[in-house]
Amino acid sequence: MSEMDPIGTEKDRALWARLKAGAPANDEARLPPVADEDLTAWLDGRLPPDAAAQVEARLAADSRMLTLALDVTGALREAATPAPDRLVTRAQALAGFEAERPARAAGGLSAWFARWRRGFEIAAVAGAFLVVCVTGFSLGGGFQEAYANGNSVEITDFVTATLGDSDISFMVEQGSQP
Amino acid sequence: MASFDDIDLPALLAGGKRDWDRFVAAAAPVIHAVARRVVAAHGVAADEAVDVAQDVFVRLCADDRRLLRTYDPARASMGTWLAVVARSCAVDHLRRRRQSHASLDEVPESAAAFEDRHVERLNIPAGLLTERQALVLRLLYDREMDVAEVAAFLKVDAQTVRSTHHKAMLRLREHFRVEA
Repeated sequence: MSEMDPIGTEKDRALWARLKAGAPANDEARLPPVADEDLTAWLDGRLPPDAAAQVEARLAADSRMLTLALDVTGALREAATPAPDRLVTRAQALAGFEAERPARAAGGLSAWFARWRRGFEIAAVAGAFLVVCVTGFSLGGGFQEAYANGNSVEITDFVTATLGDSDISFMVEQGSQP
Repeated sequence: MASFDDIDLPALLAGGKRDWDRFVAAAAPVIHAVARRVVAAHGVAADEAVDVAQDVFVRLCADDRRLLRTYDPARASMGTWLAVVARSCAVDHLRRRRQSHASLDEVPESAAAFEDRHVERLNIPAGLLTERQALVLRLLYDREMDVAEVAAFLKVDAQTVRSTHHKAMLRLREHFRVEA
């Protein structure tokens, strides 16, 4: 109890201490457990009086539950303080992975496609590669063109005229040798 | 700061990424505040609060948001429900962490007491005090709370707390023949 806001007397306190000492009162009054949902509703003031009284009886007797309730109300007061950015970022990133689960779990064509997506991707890339190869080979004339002339080509095949004197003197002027 | 009012619950449960991001922005301050308290009560370093809070989000998100689906807007506000759930998850997280890291001898006594499920009965005949009166005395004398704090906790005004205390003490004195 705060000294700033006193309530009760020393005798009151002594009486309370005396009541806490000694053997517990009758076991007959074992309190029924309170579900988290009821505690939550009580904290929000949404329980009818009878149900609220049950929760309050439990809170008065169960220090664990009272600590829970006090923690929750305290945390709600402190919630005005923003959470660290790294917590928000990490928590938001969780949905990226989880969002895929329902699609895989669901039935129908989309689920079937999702299951075989990787296979489709590989098949599509392989098909495109094959088309490029075949098209390029066809445009290049295929094997016929490359092997039609016996596979041997000499440089003399392309020289159709011998060099004349004027050509040789021109090359000499330019520093070349015949 | 994001508000729980902005959250479209059906869309969130349907798995919308944008709704999840909005939910995280609104829930993070509450969950982190709970984690800070639990971590402090267990004598764990304050830095751990972020990891504890992250674990709460993982549980909310897991198994197609199974835990989140248990929320009933008719029973409680989202903030209060989240705080209760977050506290349970946080205590569980630290319990598992402690089991994997420390022997029982190393556990601080205060942390062990925090987990105590023992129900303490007062030596008061049943029916002598109302539930509210017993709770007010418990908060004032055992938890050493201010009248204002008790009033805020019970969502009543301070005068009601004083009056409840007064009536409770009268009954106790009368029953045990104690003079004021």
